[in-house]
Amino acid sequence: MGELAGSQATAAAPKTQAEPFVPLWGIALDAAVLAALIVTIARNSVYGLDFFHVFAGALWISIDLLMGFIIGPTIRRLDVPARMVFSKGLMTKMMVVVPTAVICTLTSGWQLARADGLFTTPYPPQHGWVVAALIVVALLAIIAYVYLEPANIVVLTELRKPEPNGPLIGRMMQRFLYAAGILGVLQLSMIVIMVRLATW
Amino acid sequence: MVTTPPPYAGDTTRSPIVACIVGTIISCILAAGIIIVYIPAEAPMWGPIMWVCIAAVLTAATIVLILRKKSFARQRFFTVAQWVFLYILVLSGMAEYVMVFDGMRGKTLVVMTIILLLFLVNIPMLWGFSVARHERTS
Repeated sequence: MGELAGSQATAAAPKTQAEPFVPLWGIALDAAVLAALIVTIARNSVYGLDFFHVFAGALWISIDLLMGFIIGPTIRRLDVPARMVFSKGLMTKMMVVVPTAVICTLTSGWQLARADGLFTTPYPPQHGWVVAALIVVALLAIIAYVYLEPANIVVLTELRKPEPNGPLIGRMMQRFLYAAGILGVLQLSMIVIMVRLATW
Repeated sequence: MVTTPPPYAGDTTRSPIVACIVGTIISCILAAGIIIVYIPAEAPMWGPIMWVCIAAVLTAATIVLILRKKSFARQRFFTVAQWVFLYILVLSGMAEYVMVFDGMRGKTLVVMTIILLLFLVNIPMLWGFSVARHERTS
């Protein structure tokens, strides 16, 4: 199955491309968003921090859920040439949006937690929910940095070669989709924790 | 038709380099976790320092293993690693900014900065190695 996918991928892959992984407009957009986040933190604006945390967090969680439970299973049912074309466009956009959404969510969330006094709450039971949130974030970081993103970059790199290694692309895409599914489940647990903390 | 690609000269099986980097990342997260759980109070530092030392030893081992690797696509490794380094530099920079802004000082700040530096070295190495190990070097 993997080898079949591989040979289809090799046949379908566009020939060597020189354009960058991340488009320049994406880098400029990310830089502007990060500059706005730095100003918001420096001004200690609770409204701004809330905005960044809710907006970026919703974006991050939605992307993970969409990838894990809707786009992932759909891609698996596509034939490999279509999968390659779809993945290349998707992954490029994801590299613009996701890293910045993650930075904004975590940084503004940390500042909000301090501002709301969540780190000084009594240990049982409320502080336990804060610790649970930190544990889920740690698991998200490990899975994203160790499994998901390296697989993403291997696929993008292979697709830019004149003769991509099909079986490798098939293996890495499977890894990417499984990791996205696990992240989706973790994100669901994060929603439960965040709603609990917000309504305490 | 199914085609079999040529065998890789690089490492395509389970690698001690990946194991070392994953060990480093987990050690760093444990070290930071101990400090964070105690916030706003000062955490006892022996635990985080122990985990940071383990992470530092594993990082040194990773660098040695990569340097000693033969038939390795070093150019591809550095091409990927330099861009990932830039991304992690922004991420670590934001974290450092927030910690200093929030008044973290002393030993805690030093340990957290070392943790960020270890991330800054290890994540680019992991992503760069993940790509370079699959390169068909001649």
